[in-house]
Order: sequence, then structure tokens, then C-alpha cells
Amino acid sequence: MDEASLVQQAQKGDIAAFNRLVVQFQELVFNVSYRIMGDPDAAADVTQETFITAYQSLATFRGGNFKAWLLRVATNRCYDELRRRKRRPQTSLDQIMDENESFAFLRSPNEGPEAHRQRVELALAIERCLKTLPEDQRIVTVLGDVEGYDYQEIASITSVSLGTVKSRMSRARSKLRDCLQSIGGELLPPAYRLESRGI
Amino acid sequence: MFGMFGNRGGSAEDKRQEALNAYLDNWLSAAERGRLENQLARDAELRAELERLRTLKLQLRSLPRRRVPRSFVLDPALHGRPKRQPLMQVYPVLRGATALTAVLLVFTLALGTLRDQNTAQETAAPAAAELASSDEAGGEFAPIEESALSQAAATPDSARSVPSPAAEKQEMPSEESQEAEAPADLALEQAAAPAAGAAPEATIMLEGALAEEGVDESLETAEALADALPAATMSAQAYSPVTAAGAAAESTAVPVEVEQTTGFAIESMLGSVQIALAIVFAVLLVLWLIARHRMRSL
Repeated sequence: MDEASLVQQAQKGDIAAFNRLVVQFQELVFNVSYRIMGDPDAAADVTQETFITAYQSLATFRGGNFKAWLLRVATNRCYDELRRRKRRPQTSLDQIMDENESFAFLRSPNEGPEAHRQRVELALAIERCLKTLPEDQRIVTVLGDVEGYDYQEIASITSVSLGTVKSRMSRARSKLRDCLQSIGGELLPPAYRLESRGI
Repeated sequence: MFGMFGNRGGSAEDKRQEALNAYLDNWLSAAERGRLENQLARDAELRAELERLRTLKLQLRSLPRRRVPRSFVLDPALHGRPKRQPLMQVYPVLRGATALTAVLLVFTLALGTLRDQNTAQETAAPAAAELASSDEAGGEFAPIEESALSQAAATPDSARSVPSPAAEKQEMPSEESQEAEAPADLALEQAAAPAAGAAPEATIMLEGALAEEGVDESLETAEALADALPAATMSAQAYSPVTAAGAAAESTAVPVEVEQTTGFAIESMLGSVQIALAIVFAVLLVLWLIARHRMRSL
């Protein structure tokens, strides 16, 4: 059964049809939430809330791109969770432990230990810099540069104008570039360093 | 502390960065793309910046995907059927209805304003014509009246020789009736007013004459004034052709009154429609804003 049919069935109350959609999109939603939240446990909570909200609000989906609609629900849940966490900040120790454990899955059987280390360091550096971005810029970067959505899709998901998306993307990349350059000399191998000339 | 001032100077740089990023993401128009490519051809630093952005984009794109820690499927026992959300289901209809009501409200308000302007113009034109005709009548009356009275007071003989204004006035009404047809009653009143005013004025002058001139002379003054008063009265009566014209005008005034009554009915209906539309618009706007807020917070 294709996506549109599954959505129609789910809208009629067929939870089994909806769960097929969950299986199809849960990895996408989890990864987007993870990149925005920066924490796998928070990302799991947001992902679960996203699918619950999506199921309860299925009647409001009037056709079109279901994936974009689902990601809009996910980003709004991320906003809510980020606001909640601002009121009750998480301890940094938990975050450090999460970072050390999170990249075991990156190990490839054909990859040497040095290559694997470089990839892990790069990913860590990028994630660290992503967390320094303001929420709006982080979301645009995750959707655009990490997940590969174009400006129009990002504008639709985040309910902002195209101009705002362009502006946020530009500022986010400038900040990421500066952040990676500042830590690149210590952590990144030469191949991954962003060389700056002139200034 | 002064960072914000530093940022103000970077707006041209911000625009340059935006253009560069949009170029990287294929979101520039053909003209903008051409301009930027010309700049890139001339500026090595700009090319280097573009390469740095391209590398960053690739690095972000190559971030590994995490596997889901567990399954997120919903438990049917816990979640059952989706909730009914009627307000959000009719959101597109609500949006359209609000827009349509707003357009209708603006249209009826504009219609009402136009009608008010037209009505004001229509009442201003005849009133101006009225005023012009009554000014002529009053203007011609007053000097004659004053001259008759003053001459009567000063020189009784000469006062008698003052030509009767009636003869002059007889010529006037025919012209007047041609000029001012409609508010004949108002013209009559204005014509009568000087005549009525002449009486107390004559009395005052008589009293003054009595005080100043002595009895005999004041008797002559009184006779002159008595002559002048009927003349003024005859002048007022000489307006009877105007009355005839006025009667004719009155017959045409009846349809005007009917027209005015119809106009009032239309205006009151328009007002009711405007109020009803305003209430409906307010209700729809509130519902639409609530639905929109709920949609955006999904």
C-alpha cells in the first residue's frame, strides 16, 4: 500500500496503517530530532511525542507531502522540549557520556582505526558546533545541510518565509565555519580542516 | 557592549554571504547568478570562501545517521482512534469565509461612504441655489426698505416721492420664479421677514422722530412710514407669482420626499448589513486565529 493510501486509512482510525507509516519514517524523525536536541534520550522522547501528536492530528492533514508535515510536527515538538529544557537544564556530564558512546555504530569493518577516529572526531566537532547555534539556525542547518531539504521545503516545514530560511542558513554556516576553524587545529585532521586564508 | 554597532556595519557582508550560500544551494535567479559568477571570476578570496562553504556543506551532509534506539509504533490499546478536531478540519473553509466576509464588509462600508458623499452633494447644491435666490431678494429688499425708511424719516416729502418698491418688485418675482423654483416657502418667509421687520423698525424710528423732531414733523414721518409699510407688504405679496411657482415646485417636491424616504430606508438597511457583517467577520476571525494557532503548534 502506498503512502497516500496508508494516510487515508489511518485518518479513518486504522492504527495499523499509521504504524506502518511510523516504521517508514521513524529513523528520519529520530535523526532530525537528535541533531536538533543534541541528545539521544531527548530525541527519543521527542520522536514518540511526534508520532502521538501526528496520529491525534491526522484529521488536519489535507494531502500533500506527508513527510514534510511530519517533520513540521517534529520540529515543533523539538521547540517545545528545548524551551522546557531551558527552564530545567540537563547536566553536562550526561551529555559527555552520551557523546562517547554514540559513535560505536560508525565503526566499519573495512575501516582502519585511524580513519574511524578521524570520522568520529569530525562528527563530534560538527555536533559540538551545531549545539552552539541558536535553535532557529540549527533547525535550518539540520533540515538543509544534514537532511538535504531545499529552501522551499524548509520554509514549509518551519512555517517561515524563503528569505528567512536563506538568512538563517547563511548565518548558521558562517558560525559553524568559525567554530570548526577554532577547534579544527586541535582535533581535525588536515583533510578535514577548513583552511582560512587572508585574515 | 558595542557588538551591535559592529554588526550594523556587516549588513553588506551579510548580503554577500547570503548570495554566496544561495548560489551554493542553487537558489539564485539567473541574473543574480550571472552577477555573482562575474565577481567570482575576478575575486580569488570570494572563490576561496565559496570552497570553504562547499566543504562545510559536504561535511554536514556526511554526518552519520543514527539507528533508532527502539520502535516508536503506537499501542492501539492506549491510543484508539484519532481525536476529532472540527475547528482544524474546517480550517481552509474558515480562512476563505473570513477573507470573503472582510471583502464584503469593506465593500459595504465603501458603498455607505459613497452614498453619504452623494447625499451631501445633492443637499448642498439646492441649498446653495436657495441661498443665492434669498440673498438677491433680501438684498434688493433691504436697501429699498432702508432708503424708504430713512428718507421718510429725514424728508417727509421726499419719502412720499420715493418710488413704490412694489412696481419694481413686480418685475423681480418673474425673474425670481425662473431662478428659484424649489424652496418657495423659504423665499416667501425671507420676503416677509423684512416687511415684518420694517414694522418694529418703523416704530423705533417714529419714536426717535418724536423725540427729535417734534410732534408735527413726527406725524409726517409716521405718514411716510405708513406709506412705506404697505409698499413692503405689497412687495411681499408681489411674490405671489413665486408662490404659484412654489406650488408647482411643491408638486415636484413630493416625489423628492418619496425619494428621500426611500433613500433613508436604503441607508438604514445598509447600516444593518454592515453591522451584521462586522459581527460575522469578528467571530470568523477569532475562530480562524484559534485554528491557525493550533495548526502551527502541532
